[in-house]
Amino acid sequence: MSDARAPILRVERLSKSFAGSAVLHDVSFDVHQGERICIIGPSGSGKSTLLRCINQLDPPDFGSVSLDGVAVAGGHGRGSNGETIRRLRLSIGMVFQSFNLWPHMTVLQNLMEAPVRAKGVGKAEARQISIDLLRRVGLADKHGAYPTQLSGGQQQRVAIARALAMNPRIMLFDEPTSSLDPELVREVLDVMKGLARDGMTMLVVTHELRFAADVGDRIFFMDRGRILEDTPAPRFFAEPTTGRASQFLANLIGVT
Amino acid sequence: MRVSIDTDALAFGFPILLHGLVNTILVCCAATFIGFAAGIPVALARLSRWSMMRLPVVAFVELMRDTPFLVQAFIIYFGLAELGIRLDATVAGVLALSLYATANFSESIRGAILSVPKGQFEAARALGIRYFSLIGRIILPQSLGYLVPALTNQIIGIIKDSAALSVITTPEMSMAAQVVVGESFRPVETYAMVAVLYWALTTTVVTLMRQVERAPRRIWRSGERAGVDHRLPIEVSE
Amino acid sequence: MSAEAQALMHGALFTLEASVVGAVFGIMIAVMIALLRQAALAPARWIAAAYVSFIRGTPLFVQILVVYFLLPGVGLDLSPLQSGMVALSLNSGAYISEMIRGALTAIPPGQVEAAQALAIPRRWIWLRIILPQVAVLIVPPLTVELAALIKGSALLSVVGVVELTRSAQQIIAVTFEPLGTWAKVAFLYFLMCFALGQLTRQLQRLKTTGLAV
Repeated sequence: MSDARAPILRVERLSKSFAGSAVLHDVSFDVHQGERICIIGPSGSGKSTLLRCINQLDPPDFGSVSLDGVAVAGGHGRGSNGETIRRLRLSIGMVFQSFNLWPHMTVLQNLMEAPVRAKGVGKAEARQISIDLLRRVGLADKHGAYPTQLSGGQQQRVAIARALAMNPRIMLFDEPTSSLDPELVREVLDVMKGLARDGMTMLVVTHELRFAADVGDRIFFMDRGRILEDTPAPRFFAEPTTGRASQFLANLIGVT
Repeated sequence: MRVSIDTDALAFGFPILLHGLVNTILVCCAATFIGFAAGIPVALARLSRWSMMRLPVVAFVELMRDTPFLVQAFIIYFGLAELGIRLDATVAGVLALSLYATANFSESIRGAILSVPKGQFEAARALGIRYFSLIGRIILPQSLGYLVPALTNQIIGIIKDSAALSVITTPEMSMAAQVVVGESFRPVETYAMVAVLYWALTTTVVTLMRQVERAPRRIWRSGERAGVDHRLPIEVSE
Repeated sequence: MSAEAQALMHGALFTLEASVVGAVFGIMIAVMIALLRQAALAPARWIAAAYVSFIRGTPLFVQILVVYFLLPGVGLDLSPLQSGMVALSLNSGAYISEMIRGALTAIPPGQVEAAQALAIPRRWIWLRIILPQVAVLIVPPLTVELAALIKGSALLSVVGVVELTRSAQQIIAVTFEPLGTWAKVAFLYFLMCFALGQLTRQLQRLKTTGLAV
């Protein structure tokens, strides 16, 4: 029986620079099963880079990422530890701001591809998993459609289902609604709320503060590559600890 | 398998090839200038609303672009001779290359003109600016961004296609190469050297044209520093 | 049909066949060059880039002559047609490799990242996501290249290959009517290339209306 208090994800001293300038400074935190962490902050604060370092799309320069105790250390650059990284990614699902569906494949094919090619799941079983997931995100009737035939909100829901098809331990959402027309945002947030209700561990980079307040357990406020605040959600929105966070919230809420 | 390189043959042939290079440059320059000068009216004619003007030009351009240049050279050199028009090989070569250049350049010029936002044309018209002045002073300068890279490719094409003129004995580099081979009997070394010379020529042209591409921006930017506003006096919403 | 017309039709067919074969081998060579360009070893990438630059910066006419005279020297005794086809394929390969390069950059990197995030092995990312899209993207440029091959094949006449241009020269040697014959030949070339040009336009129209992916 595993220690229920051992973290699913442990990030230790993560650092990353692009073209000489540091984007992540010595970031460390733990994530436990079922936690929903919303990461907010100004643009350029390193929020997306943090997610991308976790699943090694941008390999960190320094520090390590451990999933269920298996660590992947930084500083090796792209391409090394290929198999370790691949195994890490099997348990981490990622949803992108620009959906990144494959346009030459149907929705169903998009969902089936990873289980079949990455895990060796049989086609019939993959098909069943995919159809169930499409039902779960409310798009069962669109299984034969191509991504270009869907609205942005529908495409993102497909992208979420595609990530879920791999049965990940933790889901990373990188500004999932930032590319969507306002009226399409809600259907995606509803799916994410459903996931949260079902107990999925998630890290969500978002500008949707109401979502963060409703669904988030912890709020990370990031600025210039550091996590300035790691606060439980209710306390953060009522009264943030740092001045920078207060200023950010004031600006944002003033706009909406 | 013994591959030997005869350096004496290279030394012997080199001056002749250089002479041929000069001829190639001359022929291609002539064709380029004529092609650009004639290409502008051809491009404008193709953009004309009158089919009487447009259709013959379309036919000309499509014909020149969908047939091999070698065949065009044969028609001008041997075909015209049948009609009694006996042209000197150089004249025939330049004529054929110029016609070919005109057709190809006109398409690039047409594309460049079309790349300028329509509002520019409309605004100038509204100001009462006459057609040729409009084209020359307003449209063409703004089309340079598209035009220079496109023309660079065309010019490289002209240089490469000029090699076919050796078949109708126009003096240029490939012709010189055949002369050298006839004397030295070392075709591999000679044609390899010719290839390198063509490569040097085309690479030089590309580099030069890149400088040309940057020049207008430098001029416009110096205008900004001097406080000159190079926009049109009317704000045109598109 | 007169003997002359037959000879011209025969020549035109030969030109078409030679062009198609040149394109097919060109694609194979282009794939190899594209792979070389992605190689880990820098010299391999450099060789591929230099090769493409050389082919694109020198006349096909000269390339044909170099291949024609070079091959016997390295022990390959090929017929004029075979050496001509080698030259055409090598030429075509360079241009098609540039089309592949363009297609590769046209595919949004996010699609590859999503595949990587899903732990799909590199092999399958290439076969299932990148290549199918590349194959579709290069079809319009390939029709342009085929037209270029048809026109370029005329230069094979210089090394004695009996394609359309050489057939015309053989006819003229007998009839002494260059203008009429070349006019017919020009027309045949025009038919082939113009038809391909229309096909290119249709394909590009399909792409912009989103029917093709």
